[in-house]
This record gives sequence, structure tokens and C-alpha cells, in this order.
Amino acid sequence: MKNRLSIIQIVPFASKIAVVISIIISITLIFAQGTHQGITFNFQLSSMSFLALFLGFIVVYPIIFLLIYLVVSILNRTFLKPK
Amino acid sequence: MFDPFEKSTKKFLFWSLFFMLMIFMTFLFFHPKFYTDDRLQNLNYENISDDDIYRIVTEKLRPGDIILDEPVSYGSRYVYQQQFENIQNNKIIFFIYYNTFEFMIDSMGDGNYWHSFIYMGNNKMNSLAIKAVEEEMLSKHFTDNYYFIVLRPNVSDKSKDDAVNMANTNFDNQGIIYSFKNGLLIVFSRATGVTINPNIRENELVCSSYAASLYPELNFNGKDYRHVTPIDLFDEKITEIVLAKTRRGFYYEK
Repeated sequence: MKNRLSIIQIVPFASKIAVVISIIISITLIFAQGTHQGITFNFQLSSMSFLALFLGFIVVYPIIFLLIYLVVSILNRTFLKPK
Repeated sequence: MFDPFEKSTKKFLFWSLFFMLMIFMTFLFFHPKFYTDDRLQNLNYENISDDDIYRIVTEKLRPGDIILDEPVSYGSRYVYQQQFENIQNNKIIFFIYYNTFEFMIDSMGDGNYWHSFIYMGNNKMNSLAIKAVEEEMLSKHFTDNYYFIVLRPNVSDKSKDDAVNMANTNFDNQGIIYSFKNGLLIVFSRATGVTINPNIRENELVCSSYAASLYPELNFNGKDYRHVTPIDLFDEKITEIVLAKTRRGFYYEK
């Protein structure tokens, strides 16, 4: 059984995953449109798309990071033995 | 031992600072703002039962009225939406959705109204929601679980009829879509006071700009209807308060 990870290892790991997921969610968010058929995507870039992408990212990233950090910490404490 | 020059420690410091920078930017652009309005503060509120509120609301509402709402609480919003088939009925998704949405709404400092409807008559409310133009029934469930204000536009009866007809046409044709991107840009513009005037297409709106689009003759302080937020509808020059249910009680015109 592997040794438990320390916070120094968990934070960069959780953060990198959170960056990737947040970018995907932000891109999804700015191209998503609510129609009567459900959520559809219109992949047309406009002048404000990058601003919207940035705003989406700064809102979503902290939430995703905290969620991943929480999950990894719980798994770490549950399944790995202390050093 | 904590060595700041070790590779893993450097990574930890970098990503911790990145996280803090993002939190800082989120609060820089979207920090909550408090809102008070003299028009709402000075109304003669009464404390009456939920049954009476529902009865009065159904009696006083007229087709063409605009309804702005906000949930009474986290729990009431959750209970209310259980009647619809929705992904937000998942407790974890609802927790994230509710808090993020409320955070964004609070950042505008616009009185925390979440959604705007137009009343169609026969207890039907029309609005632009995530699944495009929808109709929802005005039920006791709604008046129990939401704070709301009912605004009557200062326009002729013909204009109100036209607005209702246009809303019916939009519901049938489903030509208007809900744009998350435009919503984000409008909230940013209002929250920061930065005028960015995003180029919004006429069929890519959010709930308040949809309600504004139904009244082309109203002038929202010179603002394009596509950039309208709930508070632009709540202006004594263009609308009159007919009913209000707030934390202070219930107001209605006698």
C-alpha cells in the first residue's frame, strides 16, 4: 500500500485537473444555448467570447478546485496508510 | 521539512497562489453588493396568510404584467423545482447551481431578482428560461416559495395585448434562445460598471432582456433592450408596482 500524500502533493495535482475541467466547462458554457430541444451548441466566436471564457473560468475554477481537493483528500485518507 | 526551493514545494506554492489569484479575481469582479430601493421600502406592507396572498395575486394580476422573483430560501427553491424534471434536482448540482447563481445575481446589486416573467392571463406566466421560451403556471406553490414584485408597464392596453401576443408567438415558434455567454457578459458589465456593450443578437437573450423585448416602446434609460437587467424594468418612469411580496410582508394596491 502506498503512503498517504501530503498537501504539498495534493494541491498541484488537484489544481491542474481543475484547470482542465474549468476550461472545458467555460467553453461549454459560452457556446451553450438553451433551446426547446435542450441545450445545444453554437460554435461561433464573437469579439466578447474570450472575455466570457475568462469570466466563466474565474467563476468555475475555485469551485472545481475545492471539489477535487475534497475528493482527493477523502480518498487519500481512506485508502492510503499514514507515513 | 519545508524547503521553498525544492521542486514539489515550488509547485505547491505556484498552484496555491494561482488558486488565490482566481479567488481574488472572482471577488474583484463579482463581489456581492447590497441594494435598497425607496420605492420598495415605503410601501404599506401587511402580514397576511399565504392563502390570502395567492387569492389577491390571482385577482390583481393582469395580462402583460411583469413579474420579478427570487426564492424565499435555499430550501424553498429546492422544494419548488421538484415539480419539474430537471438536472438541478440532484442535491449536489443544486447546491453548486444555487450558490453560484445567487453569487452572480448578488454581484449586480440589482435587488437579487432571479427571473422575470410576463403574465399571460389564465394563471400562465411566460419567460425565457434555460429551455428557451417556457410557460409556467402561477400556483400557490409559487407564491409560497418566492418573493416577487409585479410591475405594470406604463403603456397602453394595446401595447400590453401586443406584448402578450408576441410572447405567445415566441412560445409557439421557439425562435428565441437563452444565451449563457450573453448572461455572463451582462452580469459582468453591471457588476463592475464597465460598459462593454456586447454585440447581442436579437434572438440570443436572457430572461430580463426577453421581457424588455416584448415592450419595444419602453425606454430603459436609453439602454438597448438586449442589455436590460431586472432592475431596469423596476423603474418608476416605465413601470408601476402593483403587488410585492418581500421579507417585510405583502403589499397590494387596494
